[in-house]
Amino acid sequence: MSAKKTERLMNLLVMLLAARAPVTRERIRQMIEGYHGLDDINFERTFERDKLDLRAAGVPIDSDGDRYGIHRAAYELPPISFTPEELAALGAAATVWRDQVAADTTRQALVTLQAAGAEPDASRLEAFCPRLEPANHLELWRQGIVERREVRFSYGTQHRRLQPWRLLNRRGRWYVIGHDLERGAARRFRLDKVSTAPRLVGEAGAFTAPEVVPTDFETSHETARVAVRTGRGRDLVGSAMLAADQTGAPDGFEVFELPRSFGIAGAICALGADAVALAPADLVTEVVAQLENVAGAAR
Amino acid sequence: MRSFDQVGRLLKLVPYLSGHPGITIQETATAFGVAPATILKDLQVLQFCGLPGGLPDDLFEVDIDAAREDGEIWVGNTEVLARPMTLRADEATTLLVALRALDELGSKAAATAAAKLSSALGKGPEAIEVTVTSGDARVRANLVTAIEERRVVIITHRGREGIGSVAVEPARLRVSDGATYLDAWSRPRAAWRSFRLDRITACEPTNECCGEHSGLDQATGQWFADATTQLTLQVTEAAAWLRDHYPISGVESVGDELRITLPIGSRDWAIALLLRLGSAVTFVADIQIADAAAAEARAALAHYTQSGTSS
Repeated sequence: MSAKKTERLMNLLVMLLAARAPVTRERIRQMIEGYHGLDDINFERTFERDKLDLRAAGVPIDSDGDRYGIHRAAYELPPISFTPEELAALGAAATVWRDQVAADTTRQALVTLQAAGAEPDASRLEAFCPRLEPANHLELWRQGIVERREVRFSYGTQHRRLQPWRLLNRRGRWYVIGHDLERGAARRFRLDKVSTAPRLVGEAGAFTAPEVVPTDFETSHETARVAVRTGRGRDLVGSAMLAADQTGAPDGFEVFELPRSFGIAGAICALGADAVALAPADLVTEVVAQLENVAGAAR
Repeated sequence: MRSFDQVGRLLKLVPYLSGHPGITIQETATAFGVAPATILKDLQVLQFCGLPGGLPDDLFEVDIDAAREDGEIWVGNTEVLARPMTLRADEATTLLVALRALDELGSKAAATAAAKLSSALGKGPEAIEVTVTSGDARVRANLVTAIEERRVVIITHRGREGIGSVAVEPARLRVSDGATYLDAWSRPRAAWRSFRLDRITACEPTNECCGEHSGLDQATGQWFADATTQLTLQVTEAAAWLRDHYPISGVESVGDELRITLPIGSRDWAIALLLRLGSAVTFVADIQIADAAAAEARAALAHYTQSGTSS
């Protein structure tokens, strides 16, 4: 960090914000002390870099030819007034994210509200205490959805090209839903299984999301038959009803028909002797192989 | 630290300090989540910033001596930055999503706060859907009302030993690992208890009022907060998501693999984790837990050999 550079950026920003009309590049060079003593090439380079840095900090700099300005209305936080209950809710929002980065970013947002005179009140005992799991690259995904741009990423070992439609948090997990250009169909991906940083590709407005985004992928998938020891495995079974056909259930077990979701084999294994995969055959094979692996590993 | 991070902080700091004359460095550092020394460095930069012109009247006034000696911050001539910069896109998104999660649990104030922010900022989290709740919507609504009115309720709860009814003083709804819990003072047990919301089938309000009980946070703290046992695992790339998904206490690369240490809430939880990860785990430091997982896997395999369902 260079104090000189921060000083120059601040002075540039204050000058543009205070100016009544856009300011020419030459005038900026004269007025800002930090640009004095630079030759033409160095000034150009430094000025370009400074504009990028201010924009990275979120400052909306307008340019028109070689004139620059900052619209106060676009720059400033609009006036918002909150009730005491809303301030308590904002205070509680600070503790929702379990992800360090998102928690810090939320804190930054709350500091801005404090700087504008609101006092989020974290001290009140809140009746609501939700927790959100880390959503990796949340802002990039949101941008892709809002700007309707393609996102590329790796999922496991495969490369994916997705037109993202919607982010979804369900049962503590984050998903992105969209049109998978490799498969030519709507698909859902878990954000925590995306193995490389996703990146935006191509122009904005590249596609249109359907009016109704399918969020219930379970129904379109295969069904898995799983026997679960009565009273156990609520996390796996959820609100599913008992299967009409109870064939294959060991004593004291009940058969459920569940959507064959991503990771169901792992969830069945995690229940140990309290769950048995019954069908389809390749799921049973997968579960048995995984159990044999764990059984053998310690021998 | 990058210059634009410092600039981003200064743009909040100037209006914050104008609005809190004489606030201490320590309080300011806490609000901004940085060290007091960082705030002092910010002030040192600020005294050289202001309107161009180079006259003393043009610059921000910062009483550096008062800050150094008394720890109090006094600034002046800051009208040009009287209001903070609007929220950055990522700040607005994380805050709105957090409010959405509170709204989902039933906080009406979070819903209206989010609506005010969205309309002021001209953006919303439309693209992001949060469904953190589970359980019956009517039960949840009754509980929210009872919490607000501090009223005792009789809940019908499906537990390991079957269905039972119990009088509780509901305190809050809490989400942990995707499941929603009611934290309540159990009258029969005279202790804090957590009930999974999707196992509460009915909730009847009574006319009795809740008492005062302390220790809720200690009794229902995050499972990892009070975890005293650590487990060290070595995993392949296939289980690298562990790193992001659990509050791990250590990670190092070993060739292509990761050696991860994480606090474990219970022995059963650790065994379930090993079963879930399967072949992605290549090494377990705690032999006893690895043995227990192997024994559980063998017990599970017995189902397949006995019933002939194995393919």
